[in-house]
Amino acid sequence: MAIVKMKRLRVIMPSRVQKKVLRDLTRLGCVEIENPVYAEMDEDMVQVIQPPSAVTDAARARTEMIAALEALDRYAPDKKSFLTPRREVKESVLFDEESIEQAKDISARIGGIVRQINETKSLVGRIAAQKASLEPWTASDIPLEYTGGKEHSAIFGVIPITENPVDLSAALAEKSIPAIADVVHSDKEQSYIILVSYKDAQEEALSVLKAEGFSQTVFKDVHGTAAENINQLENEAVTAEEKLQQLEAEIVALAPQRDLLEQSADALNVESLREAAMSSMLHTEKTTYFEGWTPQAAEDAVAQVLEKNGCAYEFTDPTEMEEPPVILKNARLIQPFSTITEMYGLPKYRSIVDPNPIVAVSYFIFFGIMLSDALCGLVLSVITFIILKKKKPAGMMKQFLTLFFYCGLSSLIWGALFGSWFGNAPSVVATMLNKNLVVPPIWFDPLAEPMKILVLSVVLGVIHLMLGMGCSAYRQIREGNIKDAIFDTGFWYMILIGGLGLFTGKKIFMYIAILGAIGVLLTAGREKKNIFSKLTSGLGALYGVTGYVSDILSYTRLMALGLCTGVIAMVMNTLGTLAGNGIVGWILFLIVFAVGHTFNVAVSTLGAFVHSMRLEFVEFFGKFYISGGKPFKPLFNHTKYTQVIKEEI
Amino acid sequence: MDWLNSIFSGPFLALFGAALAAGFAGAGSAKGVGIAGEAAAGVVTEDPGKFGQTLLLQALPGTQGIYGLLVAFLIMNSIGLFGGGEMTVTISQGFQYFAAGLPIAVGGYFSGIAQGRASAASMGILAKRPEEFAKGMLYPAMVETYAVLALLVSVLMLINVR
Repeated sequence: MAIVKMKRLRVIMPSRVQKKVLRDLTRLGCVEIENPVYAEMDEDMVQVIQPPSAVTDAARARTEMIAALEALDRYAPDKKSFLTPRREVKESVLFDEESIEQAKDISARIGGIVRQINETKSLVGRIAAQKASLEPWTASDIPLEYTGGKEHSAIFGVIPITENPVDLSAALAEKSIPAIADVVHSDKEQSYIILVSYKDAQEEALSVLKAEGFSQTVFKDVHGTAAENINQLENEAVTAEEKLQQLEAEIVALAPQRDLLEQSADALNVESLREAAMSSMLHTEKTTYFEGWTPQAAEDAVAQVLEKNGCAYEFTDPTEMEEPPVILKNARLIQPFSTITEMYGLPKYRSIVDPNPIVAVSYFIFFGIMLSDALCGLVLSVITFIILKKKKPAGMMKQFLTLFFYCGLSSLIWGALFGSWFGNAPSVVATMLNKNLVVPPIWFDPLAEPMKILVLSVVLGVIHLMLGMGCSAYRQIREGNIKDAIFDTGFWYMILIGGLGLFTGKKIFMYIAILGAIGVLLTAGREKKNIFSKLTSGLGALYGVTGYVSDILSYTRLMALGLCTGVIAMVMNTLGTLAGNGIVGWILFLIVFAVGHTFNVAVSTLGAFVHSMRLEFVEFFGKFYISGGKPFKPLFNHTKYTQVIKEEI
Repeated sequence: MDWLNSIFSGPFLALFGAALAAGFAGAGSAKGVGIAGEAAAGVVTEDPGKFGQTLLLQALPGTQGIYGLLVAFLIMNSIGLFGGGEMTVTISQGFQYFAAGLPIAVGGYFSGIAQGRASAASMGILAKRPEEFAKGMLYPAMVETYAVLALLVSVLMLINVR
């Protein structure tokens, strides 16, 4: 239950075994490889370093494979249910080079087909656009490439539609220009016109039309009438569509290869992580050097691997200058709650205190009180349990689901204590059946005795805060500053206990509080030189009591959110019974019940999750926590689609 | 002057308090959830995979409405609106219920909007640094403290009406 002790690892190995060593270390999954710091090295050493060897293309191949998988998902969606667990694959199968090569071929093929599909799609788009541009001219049987004969000319063009359309033929006739402007078609925006005129009158005719906004349309590489062209384009479109279908069918035919692609994508992912690690190592002609971190507990196992492969290595304790990565190791029950701490940011390596045990217990309790409904909790636990058992998720997902599973249990307990089963659902259902049933709370009903739950919230809050201050004192004691622990925490304990004790009405608590306050006043400025600034620091510290008040009040959210769940549930139940207990009434009741309580579980779970977290982060961590540790990122078989099964080699 | 009498009747004043609590707190939440939703839509346009997370952030300013509902429900329950019987509330009690509705009405309205803004800003965290999503959920939760305190005062007043 602590921040795991790390060892600095330095290894020099023959380059020829580097891949093997990396593979073995990945299997172990407990070595993080780090960029060595050039500045700390001998000049001689820097001289012989070669740039990292060109990385192979595992990362690129993986990207291609994922694109192929996406294409498969688009054209041949996987019908696996959400709950299907990740496929289990043996190491030897996963990293089998032949099957990876095969998968690369397949993904290249799919990539090729996808490219063709895209090309065909854009072809279909072009055809449609061309067709649309020709459509207005279908009424004319003049070939579109026609520009005129020996004596007359033909010009195609458009005129925008204005509010007062001008009769073009009349306008031409008025100026006695020997030309005809034939309006082939008009739509909302423009009229499509063919202007036929004698060659020598063309200029004049055009100038009349241009006054109306005429612009010429030229058809490139088009022969025949519009109708003929459209016919041809339609044929082309049909062919293209057929080709599209055929291409999609080709992809669908490759769907059975999905498993192979998935496992190879995973294998390549691990491979690309190794490549990245390799590029952060230093290489000379024949040797490779790297630095890294490994947990102390894994030292022997790592040493064994390195020994076997003939590497020179050393383990050293981290120096003051170094900042080792952090992992928190806790009992299995507590481990899921570590995600909460990690969301805030890991503690610094030398900050001594691992808050997880306290976080686990307090988060469990807080979440339960905030959700505080037995059936809500049960639903939450059952759902997460089913997902955990069926889907068998790993990593963060698993931790989260387990966390919610525990928290659901906590709500079940608190709900039973407070007598809330979807609010007052049992008695409402009983009333619908013309019976009488009241599930009594095991402890007390918060709605009937709100003061009691308020006091409970505040007391839990004070305990939580004092544990936080205790963590700070623990650290000070471990660092050898016992005096600081007494001055900074002990006196505040006295103020808090005394202050709260005042509510019991006993005089003794007042004296405890006053003694504590005097203690703070006198010692908070112990670093300062003169008496005056000592006292002002003391006063300033005492003013911090407002901070404690607001911290404590913040815990009233336990009460607020707890009451909320119960009341929403009661509102839903009341709404459900509005139509009485006939058939219609029951139907209404069941619908409102199902929808309403689903809504309640969702909203209240979100609230409980966020606000429990806030209490941990702001009130509890605020008292002692030093964040800023960088997470330990070892090389390991990091897979997305499959679950790797270790084999003995 | 019949209408004046019915305005200065206990049940009306109590219900007026309940109406303010549910109405204003609900309006605050509606505005807040709306503001957050606008930002959420932007994030999802870029990355539809973040839909679920945006929904969580959007839901955060929704609690004020629930608090208002809670207070309104408690008021209605304690004056016996649901029983179907006579509501026996004196004018003095009516005013007390009315006053009890005010903290969450005002606190809920303004904190709902402010929380919506914080949520909308946190959408930026979700868009650019999704790994820090949890921290983004915390900023709106900080605002909610004051809605919780308002609710606390409302509830304490309500249960001590004499």
